[in-house]
Amino acid sequence: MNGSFAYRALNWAHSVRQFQQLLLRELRSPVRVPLAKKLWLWSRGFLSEDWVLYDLRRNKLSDYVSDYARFIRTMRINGRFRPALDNKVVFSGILRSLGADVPEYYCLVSRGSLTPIGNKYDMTSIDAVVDACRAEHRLIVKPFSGGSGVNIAVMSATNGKLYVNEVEASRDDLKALLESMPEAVISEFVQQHEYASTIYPHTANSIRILTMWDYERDEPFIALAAQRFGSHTTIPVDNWTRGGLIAQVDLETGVLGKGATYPRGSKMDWHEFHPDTGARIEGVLVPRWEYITSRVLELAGEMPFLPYVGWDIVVTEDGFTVTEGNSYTDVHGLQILAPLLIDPRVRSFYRHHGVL
Amino acid sequence: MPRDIGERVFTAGQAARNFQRLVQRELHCPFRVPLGRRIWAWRKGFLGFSSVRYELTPANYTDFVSDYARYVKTPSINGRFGSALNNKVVFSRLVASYGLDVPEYYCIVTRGRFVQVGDRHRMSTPDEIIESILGGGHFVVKPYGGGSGVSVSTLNAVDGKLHLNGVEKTADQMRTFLDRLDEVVLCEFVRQHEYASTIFPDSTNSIRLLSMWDYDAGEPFIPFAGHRFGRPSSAPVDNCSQGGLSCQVDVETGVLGSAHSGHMDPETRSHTTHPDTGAKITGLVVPHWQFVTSKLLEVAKEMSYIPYVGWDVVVTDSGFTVIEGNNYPDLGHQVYLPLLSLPRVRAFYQKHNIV
Repeated sequence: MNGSFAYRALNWAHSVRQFQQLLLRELRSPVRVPLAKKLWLWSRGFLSEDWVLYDLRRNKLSDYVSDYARFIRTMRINGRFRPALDNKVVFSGILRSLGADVPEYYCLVSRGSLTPIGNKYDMTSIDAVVDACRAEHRLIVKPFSGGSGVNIAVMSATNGKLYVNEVEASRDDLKALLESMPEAVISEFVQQHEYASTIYPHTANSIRILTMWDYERDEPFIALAAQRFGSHTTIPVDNWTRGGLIAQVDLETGVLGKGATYPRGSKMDWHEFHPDTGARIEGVLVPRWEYITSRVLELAGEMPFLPYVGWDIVVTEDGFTVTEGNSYTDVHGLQILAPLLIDPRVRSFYRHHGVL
Repeated sequence: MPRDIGERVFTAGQAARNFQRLVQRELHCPFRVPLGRRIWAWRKGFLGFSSVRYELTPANYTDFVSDYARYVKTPSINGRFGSALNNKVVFSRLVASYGLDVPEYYCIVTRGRFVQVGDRHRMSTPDEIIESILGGGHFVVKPYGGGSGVSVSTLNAVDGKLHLNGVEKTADQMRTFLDRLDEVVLCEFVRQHEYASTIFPDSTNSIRLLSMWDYDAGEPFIPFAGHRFGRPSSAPVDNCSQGGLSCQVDVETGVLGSAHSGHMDPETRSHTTHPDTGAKITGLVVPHWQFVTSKLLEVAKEMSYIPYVGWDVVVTDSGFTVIEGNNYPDLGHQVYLPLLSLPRVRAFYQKHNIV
């Protein structure tokens, strides 16, 4: 089974696509690095921008998971269970069966054709979408597979007017938006906790929590957690490569570190305050952090068939909502905050799965 | 629809594998079909085998979904959601979130690693599994990625002795069996309702219900339901491909029709009673039937993102349990009901470019 032709073809083709993405990332990087350093990093499976991102003048390269390992090898860790994570609707269903809070999905969108999900709204037409938007105030439309915040839009309705990503829109604009989406879902907009909206109110600011399995103790652990914040260039998402910020969350205390922005030159920028709102980031405490980590570990423990999950959660007034799970999470942003391989449990996890 | 190279290669790979399975099935046809008839059937997309089983003629073959369409085209109906059905653990968790009963999963085995799921039974090693069996556990071992009931086994203990598929085994034999497992799950053995165990007690006798989406009405419907019963050759499973019996269930009333020994025989020999136990089949009403169909339709409506499911359910004392879902179910039951003779079914397959 594991070696079936289609399965091998799928893995092979995914590897090719991942390699293509790795190359594109290298080619598109705005970070300036001397050629000699580039060659040295490439030969070790790293992108040249890592010189700046990981501050390799001071830090040891061997403490970092390479980009080649992430793009090509980590993809296979969850094996045949990867489909559970690759599809947001399916993952949210699995989590709901475990009692977790997940966003409600209302409608499947396929190039403008609408199939309602569930019974809350009968979204079979644009008018029905507009009505639901008025009732909910905000709705999200996003691809149900794939990550990186591409093609996500927030539809909202206030004072009788419609908005897409906070820009006033007509019913026809909404129709055009839904027709442009090949495989998307319309879902509930999760109302974030005040601590996050104070720092940046125009995006849903999520936390990425990376869980791995400790095979010695037969239990999951959290390798790293990072809070993301959007900025005026990323609305409606909080993607840091497009101008957002990423800050480490202290696993013990839930206190945020400084926020980093993706470098445009040859040096990293670290921010104590959000550059757009001036709100403090460093030192802010994520509410109910202990509950969040213990509950995420509980959920990960219920799914030992998924030993490697990048959880995206939004902290709410009542707790938190899991907005998605990532099967081969981008470790790039995370390792800016801390090299993953300094933790022996992380190193042995990756070794177990042939990533190192 | 597939967009990137990975998806396209996967779809092509899956189509190639399914085409290979189609050819293999033709080569392993259990009875002789004249060459002329075979060639005629192939040109219409059918196996020689099906042309005999369905009694195809130039006048009626357009009422049937061809084997080519089933094997090569129907796997793409559920698009990116198909993979959720292809993994039993993922599908069972998904449908459980809609309130359906599913078997509890206790352990997942991949490449020699036993991963315990939940706390109900200690199952991190073969020895722990043996202890759980001796402690009264009754389990089913099945591949989490495959269909057709291949390598499904039952594990239990009778009077303190270990049994594998009803045959007594020593602890060493059981350990050897467990050590060889790969890509399987160990799950709860579902206790079927008495009506089913009376007909054949040595297998779990399941019902296959096909649900598809009516795009005009905006709701799912069930065009067909078939009951399977095991025979000594198929136990502990009920699959027709392994010698089991199948019969139609009237979707409206739950009344069983006459049973056939499906895939093994060119003659559609029919039985009103089970040939091994003598228990009555034809005319029996499946208990809880209205509940089964209405609940499945309710969930299929909520899961509108998966428009095509072959549900395998086992009727229990308190209702029913979904033991698996199939992404591109076998359509061999067309022997009872040519699917394309139903306008709603034809419209569904047309919408998905299957016919």
